[in-house]
Amino acid sequence: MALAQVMDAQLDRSRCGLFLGVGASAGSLTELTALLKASVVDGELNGERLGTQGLQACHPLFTFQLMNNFTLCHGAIALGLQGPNAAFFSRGEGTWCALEEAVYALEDGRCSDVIAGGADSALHAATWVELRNALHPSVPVPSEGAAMLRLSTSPKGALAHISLMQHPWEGTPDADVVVQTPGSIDALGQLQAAGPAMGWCVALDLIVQHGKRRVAVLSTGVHEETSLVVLERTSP
Amino acid sequence: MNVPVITGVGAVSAFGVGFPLLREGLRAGACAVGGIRSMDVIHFPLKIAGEVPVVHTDDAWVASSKLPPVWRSRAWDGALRDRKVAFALLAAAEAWRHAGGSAELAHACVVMGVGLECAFLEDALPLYDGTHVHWEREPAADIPVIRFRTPPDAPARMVREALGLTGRHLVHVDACAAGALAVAHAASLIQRGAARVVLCGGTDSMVNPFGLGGMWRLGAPSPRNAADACRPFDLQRDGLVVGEGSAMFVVEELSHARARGAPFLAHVAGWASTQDGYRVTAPRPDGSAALRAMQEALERAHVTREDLGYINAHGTGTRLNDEAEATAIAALLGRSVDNVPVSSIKGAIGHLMAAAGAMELAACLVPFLDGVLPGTTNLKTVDPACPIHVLGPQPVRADVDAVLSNSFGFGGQNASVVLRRAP
Repeated sequence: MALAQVMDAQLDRSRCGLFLGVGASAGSLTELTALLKASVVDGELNGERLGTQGLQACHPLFTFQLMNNFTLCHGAIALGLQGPNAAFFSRGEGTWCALEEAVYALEDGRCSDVIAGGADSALHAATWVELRNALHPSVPVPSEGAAMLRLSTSPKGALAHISLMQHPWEGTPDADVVVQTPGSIDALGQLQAAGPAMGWCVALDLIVQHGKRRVAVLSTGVHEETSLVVLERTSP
Repeated sequence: MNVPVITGVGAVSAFGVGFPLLREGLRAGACAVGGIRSMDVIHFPLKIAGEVPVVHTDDAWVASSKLPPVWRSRAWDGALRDRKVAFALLAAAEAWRHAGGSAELAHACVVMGVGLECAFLEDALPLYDGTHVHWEREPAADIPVIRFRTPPDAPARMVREALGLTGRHLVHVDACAAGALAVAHAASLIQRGAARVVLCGGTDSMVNPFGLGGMWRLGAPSPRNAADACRPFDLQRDGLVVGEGSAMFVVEELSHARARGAPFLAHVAGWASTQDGYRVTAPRPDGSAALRAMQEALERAHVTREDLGYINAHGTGTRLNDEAEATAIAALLGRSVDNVPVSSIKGAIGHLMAAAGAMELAACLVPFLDGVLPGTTNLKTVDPACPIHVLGPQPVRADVDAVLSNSFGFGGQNASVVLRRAP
């Protein structure tokens, strides 16, 4: 849905790039429960049952549900995007990397339009348990979402200029406003792979809707890596 | 322009632990696919794999390998229960040592292609009441590295920590294209000056109940539980064979490598990625997006189709992949189609999924090192629907300067990488 919002008829989809930060597998837990129900005997996994009824209880495409890259692939297939692409596992850092690679794809001349962003759901029970344990005891509010930016080499219709600062970032960014993820948008909950991208969208909103000139987004990943993206209003 | 070169390689494959065993197996035209030993498959529909010859990937196994001394006393906190973590550690250690890795290179980044999370169903049993898994009953506490499933960044994080590296660690989750894209990404970081040394590659294992079962449900593997089940480009091909392993490289900037006297194995000269944007369950039949990936990789490498000495195909042994890929290769080569040999090593070691692209790039070093092109294990009769010059099962002597390797992922991600003989 987030991808569809940055599409328009002028976009050459056959060349448009797509770089995403994505979260952990979000396969249906109904499938897992069905597999266990068919495979557990007296509280133990039974090899014979697992290899027969257990596998049959799962949807044939269950493995595709689990593949992390399918967040990207379903979007690309639905919208016919065929340009350079990559999916990065992200609990913050990978989404910045997706933006970095998207910007480089433009600079490198591999495409003239590219979409970069992140999508994740921490509401998935297994993911949430992992996060809760990893971040124990400061457990954030679980959340989910997706955010995308469309980047172009063409200045026509541009809302802002985007630049990536040295990585890892240390110091105070030069900006009217600094958006921190996590931090500034915690009202949205713990967005994981979508967090930095949501911050970029908030920054864009501050420029377009609220007249800010230069907004920095400082993101910190779950392993304390930091990255900085600066959006600056294009000249009128 | 910075020049990315490979200065170290490590491989853990069905041929065993170490790149020399892969090299030797491919030079001999051997097949390492066989019966699965690491899990009880008596009741499983899939009974064969390109399995790394180890039953338990535990601390003792890793400790018994030829690792840097700093690793030997390390406790891995249960992380080695996922085979792909253990394979990544061993392949990375070999590549690092091969490249002469030292504390002076601690600034290196890690870029790794990793397969989907390995699920540990037994961890969920205490939470399962016969109807539901009560995740809320899991106590919040510090946990081992792996519980329920492997975090996708675990192999890269553990390699980085074990080698004491301080650079970034980035994880490609691009299915079967992940390993190739990780190497391409590393080369790109070097070329644009964003890094001077990158430890990169891929690791994966689906030799576990969920992995094998899931692949079987997809219908992708050959239904024949025989060592010759995977027959890429063969008229009678009927599916892939699951493999596992890891291949890692040290990629660094040429002048940096020269300054420290490191050996060059190859130049990572070109790369590209495209998306089929077609279907979840099938490749684009005309191979047009795959063709574009190959063309763009060759353009970046300044290699013409006439210069190309060998193509290592993705060549899964499935009906749809091989025909679409052959169509794309034929279109790429045009009148040169009969002059450029093509082979797939998946018949020999299986389909390593996220590690496949990296392992096949390791195989692409063999022509430079030994003057030998790997054969297409198990090929008997080339499918007329694959109108390209496919090599038979035996390796072929050849002197080549440029090779291209394809990796096409489930979901439509295509990656092509061009290697040139070291400058």
